[in-house]
Amino acid sequence: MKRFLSLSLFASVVLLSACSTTGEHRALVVDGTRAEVALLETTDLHSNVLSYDYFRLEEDKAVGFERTATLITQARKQFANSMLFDNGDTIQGTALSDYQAQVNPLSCKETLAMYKVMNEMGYDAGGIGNHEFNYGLSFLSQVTGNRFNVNLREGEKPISAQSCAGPNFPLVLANLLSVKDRLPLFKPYVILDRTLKAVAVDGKPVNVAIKVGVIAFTPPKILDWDKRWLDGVVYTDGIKELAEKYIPEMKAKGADLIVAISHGGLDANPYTPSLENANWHLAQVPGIDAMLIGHSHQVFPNAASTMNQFNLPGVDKAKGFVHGVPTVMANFWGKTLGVIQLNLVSQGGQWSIDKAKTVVEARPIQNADKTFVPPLPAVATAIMAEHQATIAYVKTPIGSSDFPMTSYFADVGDVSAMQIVNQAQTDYVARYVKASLPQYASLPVLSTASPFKTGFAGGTDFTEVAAGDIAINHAADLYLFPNTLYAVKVTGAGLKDWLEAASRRFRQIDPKLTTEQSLVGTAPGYTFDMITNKDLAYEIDVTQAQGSRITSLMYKGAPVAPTAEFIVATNNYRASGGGNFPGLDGTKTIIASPDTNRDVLIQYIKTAKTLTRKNNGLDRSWHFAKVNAAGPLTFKSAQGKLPVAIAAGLTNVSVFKADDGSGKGLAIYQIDLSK
Amino acid sequence: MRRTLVMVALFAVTSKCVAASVATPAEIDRLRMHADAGRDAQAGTSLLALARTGDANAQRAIGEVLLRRNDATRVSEALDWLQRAAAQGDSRAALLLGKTWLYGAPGVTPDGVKARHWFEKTGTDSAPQAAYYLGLIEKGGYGTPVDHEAAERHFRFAAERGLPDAMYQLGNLYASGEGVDADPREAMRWYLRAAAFEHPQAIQELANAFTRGDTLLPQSELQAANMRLAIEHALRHPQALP
Repeated sequence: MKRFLSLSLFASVVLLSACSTTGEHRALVVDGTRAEVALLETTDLHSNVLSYDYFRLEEDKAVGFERTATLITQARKQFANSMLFDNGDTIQGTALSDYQAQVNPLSCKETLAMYKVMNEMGYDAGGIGNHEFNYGLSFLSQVTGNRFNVNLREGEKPISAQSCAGPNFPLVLANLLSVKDRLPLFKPYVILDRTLKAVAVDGKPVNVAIKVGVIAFTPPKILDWDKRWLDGVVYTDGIKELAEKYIPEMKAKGADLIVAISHGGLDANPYTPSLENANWHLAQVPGIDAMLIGHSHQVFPNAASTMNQFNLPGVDKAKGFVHGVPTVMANFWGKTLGVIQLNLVSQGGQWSIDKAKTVVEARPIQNADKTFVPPLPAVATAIMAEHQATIAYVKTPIGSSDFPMTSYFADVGDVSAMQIVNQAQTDYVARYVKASLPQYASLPVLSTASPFKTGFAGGTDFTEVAAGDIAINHAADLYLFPNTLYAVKVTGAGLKDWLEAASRRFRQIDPKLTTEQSLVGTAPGYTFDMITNKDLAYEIDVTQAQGSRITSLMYKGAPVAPTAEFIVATNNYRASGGGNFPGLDGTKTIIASPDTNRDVLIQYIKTAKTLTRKNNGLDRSWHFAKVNAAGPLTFKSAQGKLPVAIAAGLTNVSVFKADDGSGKGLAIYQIDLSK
Repeated sequence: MRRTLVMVALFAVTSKCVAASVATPAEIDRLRMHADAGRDAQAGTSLLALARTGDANAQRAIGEVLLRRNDATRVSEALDWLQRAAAQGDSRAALLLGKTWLYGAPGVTPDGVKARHWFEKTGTDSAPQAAYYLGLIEKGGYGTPVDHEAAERHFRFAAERGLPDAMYQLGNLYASGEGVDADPREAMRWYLRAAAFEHPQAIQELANAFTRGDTLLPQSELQAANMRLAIEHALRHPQALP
């Protein structure tokens, strides 16, 4: 570990001097001298430092930089010379990164956990992905040790007065510029001076100098994805145009090798500067000796890949070449290390690559026998305090509740697991409309939520958050999917269609049948959207066919007119076509928030602090229309949960069969709809 | 006007050169990026100058920049520039006009009939995108009676040409049996194709399938959890509308 650290410190020092000297004279390397150098790539680490899942609070060996680090160590032993690069999407993606960015923001003198371990491993340079911008420009400026010259948007804390702790290797990015001064935010490229262990013509070992130029690019679409931080503050320029400008400049400064780090994949559509995945075109810019790519969370080379982007003209997916340029993409979350092995030969005082000997590999942390390479212990040691603090944060109570929030009886009227979600969503959207969409200020804001877990896998497959303290990880039980909050504008007719579609959950009941009829059909529980709002009421008549089941739809005591207008809070999935709800195809969306429904829920609980059944668990907007059925109407739920129904005020539910016989811990319950 | 001519000269190959050949589409896209995100007035002036000489790419680019400013006056100007480009046969301008009428914008109330008009005017290079929106119009009955069979034809055309949004919608039609015979396996195949493009809703269908167990995707809570993580990642960089 020490060795890597000192090497990287040395690198930064020589880098500084290299930046200020151009056109210096160097001793010529004797013709025929050979050297092998391996370029190692990590990409899309997404702050997965350890093999750990912070939601489940348990180890996950399939991911984690602590294991990639073992592959790095092995590669360094294997090759006489190696350089280590990161492609980006590095500092965001786990509870650890959220903790350091948002919960307990890093102080100026502290180094981000991810960069800390990268410093330990001695990286030579890194690029910038799109997710680097997720926490805002002020944070990125701080943790990368920069002081961006930008006019920040509202909501960002000011750029720190002095440079803060950051990585001890250069971060490079050519295609992002400040609106304020029209200059790049990062160094567009660096030229690294290195000493290679080479072999002279006579076979004797010899140390020779080399200059390695590194240039990096991020996808131009960051301006859309992180609009809330970037709009009007920064802009991007064309990747191909900048490569054509800078690469000759780097060569003129003596770069023997040019490494392009580009956070993106391959796309053979005609080149235009706003193309998201520009690297198929970038590879055709003269002078690039190796390309380290990422963003798509894929492995390249991969002979078996059916991905469109790896089956384009000029792409050798088996050997890892794009238009003859050796190229690697190292998967994501530390699952894979990319390795490009170059064999250099000196000729006429210049290094050239013996292309026939170039080898490109993607080395996984999972062995052929499905086991995983062991972690490098020093990685965990370096960030143990941050790791423990994150676990403590995930377990910290954010509020408490005097009732259990469960989905056992969600099908028959217990809204305890949905109402708090609806309240949080309604609150968020109402505030958003007031602040940013004044044209809709007069429209009522409603919200829908559905039970995510309704017993597919048996009696344990239900939402259950016990009464008492609520922690962050409980929010993931209440909101299973990492969806983002969307709101749509619908008419009264559209709202009715929505609720009709949600009522597909129920089979059509024939009241005359004397035999047992199952109330619930095959439509999954997560399609049973429901409203829990004191102002809105509706009945579901299960004796009617789908399409005419929603009766007496009332808002504030008056029938809802088909032309009335409402704003309804939901998630990206439903608003964009998920579940195939009529009219919900993306065209009604008026708010597409980058905030997750889960985070909105967490914030709401933090503010509300104490949840009670009375305020947060009883406002069902819907009831079943009365049915005098001749036979029993039944549904399944977990065994032994009748007291849950009773506590939720469902007096018409009883046990029909204590065990449904499936062996999955389910019981059959009966509901009397005549009351 | 004099200033305009100066700006044009920056790009002009020769003074005799007609507008259409003054700047390549990539050069105009670069100017658009500078004018839009870069708030570069000079780039805006250059684009305007090119647009005034009749360059359809520049007219569309100006339209795009103005649309993103999100106020009624600029949207109205944007529509004007886009119509000029579309009148010259610029497919992507017609597509943008269609989208603006389908989704609405400040000062523009959604209008399915007007949207359809522009989607039907796009040429072959934007045909898959236009087909996707025509599918939405037919399925949603926007200014027209609902026609699932027509929606299916449009979505299939677009899906077969690689549009993940259309793949997802086609999957939905197979799942629900609208316009086609219900076929859950075929639905899942289309969801899988769309998910390969990181389509968040399609990935959510895979998560749901792994949760309940599906003929193509057998029950696996681990796989469902992986799919949920994949949704989280995909939602951080949602694909723009086609």
